[in-house]
Amino acid sequence: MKFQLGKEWFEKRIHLEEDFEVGAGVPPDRRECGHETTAIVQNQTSNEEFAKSLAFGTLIQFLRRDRRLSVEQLASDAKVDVAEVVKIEFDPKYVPHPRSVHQLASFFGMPQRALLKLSDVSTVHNAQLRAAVYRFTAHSSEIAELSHEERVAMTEFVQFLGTQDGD
Amino acid sequence: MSSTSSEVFLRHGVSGQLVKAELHDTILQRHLDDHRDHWNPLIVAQGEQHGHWDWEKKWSHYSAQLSYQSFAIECNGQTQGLMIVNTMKRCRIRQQANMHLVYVEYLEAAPWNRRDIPRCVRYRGVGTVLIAAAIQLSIDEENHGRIGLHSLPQADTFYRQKCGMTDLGPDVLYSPKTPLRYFEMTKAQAAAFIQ
Repeated sequence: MKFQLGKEWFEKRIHLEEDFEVGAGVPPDRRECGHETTAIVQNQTSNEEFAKSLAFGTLIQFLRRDRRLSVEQLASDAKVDVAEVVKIEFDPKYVPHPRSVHQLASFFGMPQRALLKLSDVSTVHNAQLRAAVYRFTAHSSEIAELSHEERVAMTEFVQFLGTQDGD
Repeated sequence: MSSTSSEVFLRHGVSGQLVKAELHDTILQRHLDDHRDHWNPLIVAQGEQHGHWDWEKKWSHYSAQLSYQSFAIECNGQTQGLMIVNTMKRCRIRQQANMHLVYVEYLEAAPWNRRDIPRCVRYRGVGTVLIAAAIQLSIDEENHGRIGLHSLPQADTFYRQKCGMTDLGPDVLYSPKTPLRYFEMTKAQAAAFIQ
């Protein structure tokens, strides 16, 4: 990010700060560091969080199976650590590394912003997306090839994610 | 990790002159080292309101998530302010409800720049520069300058009166024991701030 405010702006604006304090954020004695979440997130039920986590892993698994790739092949082709692909697909509580989300989104040609939202359960507050997540994860199973029903569910979900890639 | 730095200015606490500073668009290890080695001893000694934030732990937690970004201000070879923001939060003001904004998770000035600690202030303007950085990021993210934050009690006046943010009152869900006030900045307020 490049910051392009002239010296005159600082001359004028800093003067207004005077002797006021400027700190923001919850003091540490009120919340455990490393587990900071907003009130909105705290209000979400664990079921919702679980479903969203599951949706990301399930989507990656469906996309992989649709291309008839093994986990190892996907990891190699998308340049993601194979252990991470396994965790993404099979551990609903696993929060993937952002680089891996980026790599997988690029590999599958998925909207990156939407996939990022889906991968980070703390950011999904959209009722439509929640509903789509539930519909999609309801079709999750572990069979080797995608059934027609799974393929339809995946296609609908991918199309929906495409509409969620903006603001 | 690399960062982009921009030239900014702070006001020297004694001379009153503007001095050059650098705004980095990510927190680097040397900023965390400064916090540990130079900020903490003063903060612990004073025992003030946000005394024990562990920025190293915070940044190790947040830096792995793409939706978070950090900033640090350096001046005269020392870290003068730190900030972590989240770019995936939503607005609460009715006129912009549910639109994305840049949410300031944490903002802290070095203890020698804070007025609640009885010592000579070295540099003024850390809060102003960091809020301007949050606004700029919001603009870059196509959020039109919209930002939000929960203010520490002693900073309410700064955000309400000096930044011109809308005060949405105490947020009991966010910090139940001592509710912090939630402030939000609209596109128009952001434009007024950086003009």
